[in-house]
Amino acid sequence: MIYTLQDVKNIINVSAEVALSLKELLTELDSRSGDGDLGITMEKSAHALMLEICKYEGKDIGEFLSKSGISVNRAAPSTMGTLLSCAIMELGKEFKGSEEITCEQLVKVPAIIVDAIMKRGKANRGDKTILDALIPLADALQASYARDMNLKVALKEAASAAAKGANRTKGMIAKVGRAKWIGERSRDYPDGGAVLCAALIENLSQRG
Amino acid sequence: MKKILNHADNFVEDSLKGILLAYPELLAAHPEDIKAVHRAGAPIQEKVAIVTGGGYGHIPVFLGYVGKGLCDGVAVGNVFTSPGCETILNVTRQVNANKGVLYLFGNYMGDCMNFEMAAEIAEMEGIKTETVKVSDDIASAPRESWKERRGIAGIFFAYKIAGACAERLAALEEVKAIAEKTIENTATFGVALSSCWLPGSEKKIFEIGEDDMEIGMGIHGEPGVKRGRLTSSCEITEILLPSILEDLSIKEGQRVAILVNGLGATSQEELFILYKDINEALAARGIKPVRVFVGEYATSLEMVGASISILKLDDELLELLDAPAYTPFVNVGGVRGA
Repeated sequence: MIYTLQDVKNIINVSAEVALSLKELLTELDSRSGDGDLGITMEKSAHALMLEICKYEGKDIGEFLSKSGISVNRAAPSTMGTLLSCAIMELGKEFKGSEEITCEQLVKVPAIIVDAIMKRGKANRGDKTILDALIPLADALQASYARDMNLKVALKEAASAAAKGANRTKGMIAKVGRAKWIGERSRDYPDGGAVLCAALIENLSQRG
Repeated sequence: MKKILNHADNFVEDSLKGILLAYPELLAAHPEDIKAVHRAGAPIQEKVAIVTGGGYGHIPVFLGYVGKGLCDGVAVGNVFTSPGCETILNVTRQVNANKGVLYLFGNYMGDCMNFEMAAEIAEMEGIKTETVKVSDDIASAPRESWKERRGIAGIFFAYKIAGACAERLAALEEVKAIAEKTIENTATFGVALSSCWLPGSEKKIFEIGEDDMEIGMGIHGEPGVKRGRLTSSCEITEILLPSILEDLSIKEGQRVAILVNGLGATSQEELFILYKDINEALAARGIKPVRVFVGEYATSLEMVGASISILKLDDELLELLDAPAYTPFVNVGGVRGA
């Protein structure tokens, strides 16, 4: 299976729609511990991505992603928006000059996103962030695909790992970002970023 | 909440336009990016440029500190949101005089990441940058991890002292070192009495009872350390001041600079009542407030409340604190005396 720019655009488009549908939940979760801007950040990011999908007329997946990353940063430079833009720009570098990507490359995408977010956000697993869903997702996706060479199955396993990871953030104490400043009081709710991550992969796995 | 505006979506842009139209001889913006604002004369030759930035809604922080003896440029974000990396780069390129650029801003994650990205790109363009983050709010982390604190009103001292140092054409490393020294010797603690409203939002950013105050609340409504009944100015002083003095290990005989800052909707009259009590409390402990600033230095829209910042002084810091500085919003230092 080979993925073209149009496939990449489709994946981003459906993910943007999922993010938009979660706006209120994300705002609510983020208000519990952060500054409550996660819903609006994802809304702005989703709109920026959708606009870039319409605007970009070339064929280079890397160039498209780099431009998308810059657009997200311009539209939503808050914490999650910046992390998202860094991750997309990093993927832009990875796929620079490519008009297609393979399944093998695709299953490595979450791991590249993990590295970009860890580097920029200086967070680790267990800090109560999106990484608590994204790292298990990335690991499960690669391990499953390496074992069965079946993307559908790998996506399902990745979605399940992400959901478990997101659930586990409930009960954790935040160690980075604004939520860190409230310490113990951050324990009662799951992390909004992790919940978002699990929802996005769940949607992709259902579509196959 | 009643606000004077045209449309909430244009809050930042309209406000910025007003500032630029009011002070064309002092401030200018990037031709394609109104959120990238700099001293009208930038770049200033031979001088290290200081670039700051952060969310809008805290005036005079951050934009109000762009001017002679303070910062060279500012990247303005949306209300309570970091500026984007592109805006930071637009300012950086505008103010760079090839003597290096110091990024000086409050320690918030969005700002940290966007300035970091900008620094990486600036470096690729051959612009040398250094970064100093202001972290003075003692409610957000203990002294041993003071670098993790969020930055609030104490940023005034960092701007003032680093700005004076840069104005004397000191090297980038020197400006960075004095900024770090200032922040290490600065501590702030405050109380919030009522919330502010984001433009276009029906809800306050936090709820607080009519008769309550929250100790240590952040300037974006981040939860503080304790909520209690609103007491007297004397009692507020006795809650805030001892913690700051202890945090900075201030002993009898120490010279300090004091900043009593209003959060946006507390009257200056009240701030001076608070200062009277601070002054008396300091006198009782034998601590000398040799420089005093009372007014609005870092606000949070129309939040009601105040913070106290203390800078532990030595000769070097005092001398730089006294140097002249002038912007449309802040006019301190220079000639002293009646």
